Amino acid sequence: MQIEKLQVVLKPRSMWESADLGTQLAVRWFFPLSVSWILLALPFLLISFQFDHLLAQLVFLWWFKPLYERAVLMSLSILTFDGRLTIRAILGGFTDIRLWFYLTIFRFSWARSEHTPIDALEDLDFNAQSQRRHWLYASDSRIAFLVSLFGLLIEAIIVVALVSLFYFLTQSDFNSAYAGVLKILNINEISKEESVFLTIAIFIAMGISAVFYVSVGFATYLDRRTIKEGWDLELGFKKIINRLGIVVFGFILVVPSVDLLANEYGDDIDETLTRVLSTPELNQSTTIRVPEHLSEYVQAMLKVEDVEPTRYRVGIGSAVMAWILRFILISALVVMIGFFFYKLYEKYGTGSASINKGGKAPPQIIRVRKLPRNVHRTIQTYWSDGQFRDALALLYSATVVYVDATFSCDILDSDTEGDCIRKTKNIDADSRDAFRVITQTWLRLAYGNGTPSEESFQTAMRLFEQHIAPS
Amino acid sequence: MQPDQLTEHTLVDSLLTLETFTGVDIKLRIAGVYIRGIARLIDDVLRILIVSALTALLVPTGVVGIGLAAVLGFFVWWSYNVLFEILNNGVTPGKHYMGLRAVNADGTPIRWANSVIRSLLLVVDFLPVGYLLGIITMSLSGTQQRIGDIVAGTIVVYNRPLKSRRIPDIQRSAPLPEHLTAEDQLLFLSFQERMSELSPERAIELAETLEPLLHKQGQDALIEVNAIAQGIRIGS
Repeated sequence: MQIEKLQVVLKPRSMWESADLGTQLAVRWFFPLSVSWILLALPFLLISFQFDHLLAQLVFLWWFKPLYERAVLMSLSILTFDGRLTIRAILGGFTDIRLWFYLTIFRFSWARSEHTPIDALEDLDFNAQSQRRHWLYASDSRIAFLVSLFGLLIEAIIVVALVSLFYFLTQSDFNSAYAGVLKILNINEISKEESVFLTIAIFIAMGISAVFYVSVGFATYLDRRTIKEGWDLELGFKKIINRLGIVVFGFILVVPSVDLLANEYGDDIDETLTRVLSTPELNQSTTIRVPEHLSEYVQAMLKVEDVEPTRYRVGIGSAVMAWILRFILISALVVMIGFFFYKLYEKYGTGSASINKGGKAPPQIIRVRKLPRNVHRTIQTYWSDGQFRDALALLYSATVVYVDATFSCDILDSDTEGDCIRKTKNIDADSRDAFRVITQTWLRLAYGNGTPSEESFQTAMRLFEQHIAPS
Repeated sequence: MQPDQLTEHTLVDSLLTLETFTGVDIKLRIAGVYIRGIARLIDDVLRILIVSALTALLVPTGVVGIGLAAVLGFFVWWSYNVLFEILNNGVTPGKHYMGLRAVNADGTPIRWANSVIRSLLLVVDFLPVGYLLGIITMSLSGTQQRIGDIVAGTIVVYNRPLKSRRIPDIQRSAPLPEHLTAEDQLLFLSFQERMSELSPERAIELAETLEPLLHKQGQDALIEVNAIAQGIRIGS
């Protein structure tokens, strides 16, 4: 290991500080680390879909976690030592025999995050690995245990958050979203589509957690080696020698040279220096080929006078690709601008245009068409069949549609029940009161799960027939 | 700025350097998500225990007891962090156990307003579940601040010094070589303090790194480095 290349400040840290350092490493290289995890884990995800039972899918994915984590560890060690991330370098970490133990008898080891760096990064035999981990960690795996526990907790939190987010964004009301979350987390009653969604959510959570889990283990390993092997001391001592070495070297090089030049050429040191500086050894040049369109920029940036532009020949494939990319970018820009103006128009244009003060607005045909032909009879049929929710939902929607059509209240699809009541406060008193009674009856059932009595329902129906939509 | 310093700034570290108004730099060890998570857990468990105890004591006494339990429970729940942080210089029981302290972002002791804000915003950090928002913001902010910390302008730092080590009993001291900076001298002292944790072979190997300066090898190099450190320590 070339500790000079390390991208981490070396110093003795406590175990907790090592964990903090691991978090920072994970954040700094989150993208390459997560990509290396995904590349290895994705085939396993696809294979897992072949299992019929969700539990089998999840156990399969979970069992091979040490394998995906190895890719993250190798990537992290390469990046931390400022190396070049290549597939070959990453695969170098998979030759360790102990990896197969982690996939079998050591699968439940809590200390995996701490021990894996020794196994993967140090070329030791089986016994030497055991001795080394005992020496390095002194059998203290408290942090490794807590990090594993924390990782599991984070995975659970992310899964619940993703599932909740999905349902709360896709469902229209809180009750349905809440019911959806509870249903999907009960894996015995889950549908095929939901099981695929849950597996993907768990896969994402595993990926995020793995990056932090591995990084913390690696940072702990680095810090333990710093303490036990004095890496920071070695670097510091080398810096002292380099610094003092430069002083000695400079003294030897500069002082005798000036004396020599003074003796040889007399007092005209300036002339001598000019001559020395113009010798070929001190005037070597490197040719940089610069594309024609960049020549001025390079000239300004490097502050050189003699930049020779080169006209590159562009192949037909590259030209077509460039044209396609340009077309896509411009189209995307146009679409985005168009979409922006469309949203503006939708928000302000139609809204202001449709404000109809005084006179009646034309009825909203589309909405009315959604209602059954004989609303009254359909509602009564639903009620008598015991479909109370359907009956009241239809009664409420029909009320909204008729009120909106009759009094032009500008009720939108996105309006809540409260919005509708506010928008109908200026209509005639009887219709307004009827609307409020019907809304309250619906709200009690929709949000309070309280089925209205026969009397309440018939009252609501009577009001609907008398003041909202005479049959 | 020296090239060395430039490189140093791009390296990953958990240390926050603050320049005080006197021009002296102070270095704070910022606490991260893991240790703070444990401290939070301890504090939350304690809060729940206190509120549960109050409820168990007061509720059986009747309607007045229920009301009192509700009021006191509310007070304990919301003032727990603030009172401890103000009266105990930024240290709640959970933080005390884990060796942490909440301070202002400039390193000064935490004040009422900051403490109230960071405590109230714990609710936001909890969202959507299990302090996820707090964990995300802590991980992403370079100074490990949750939303409450960012708004209140506070940080949480390690309050406990690193484990002190036994210094080997050395009789001989040597004069300090020329051209060594204060930082270099600290390195010699650090070497002396950490000798017990290094294997003898590794200690000699490290001491031999300084051969161009000390012109000594093997055991002699080790003795010389220790003697220089001892010289720095006793001020010779």
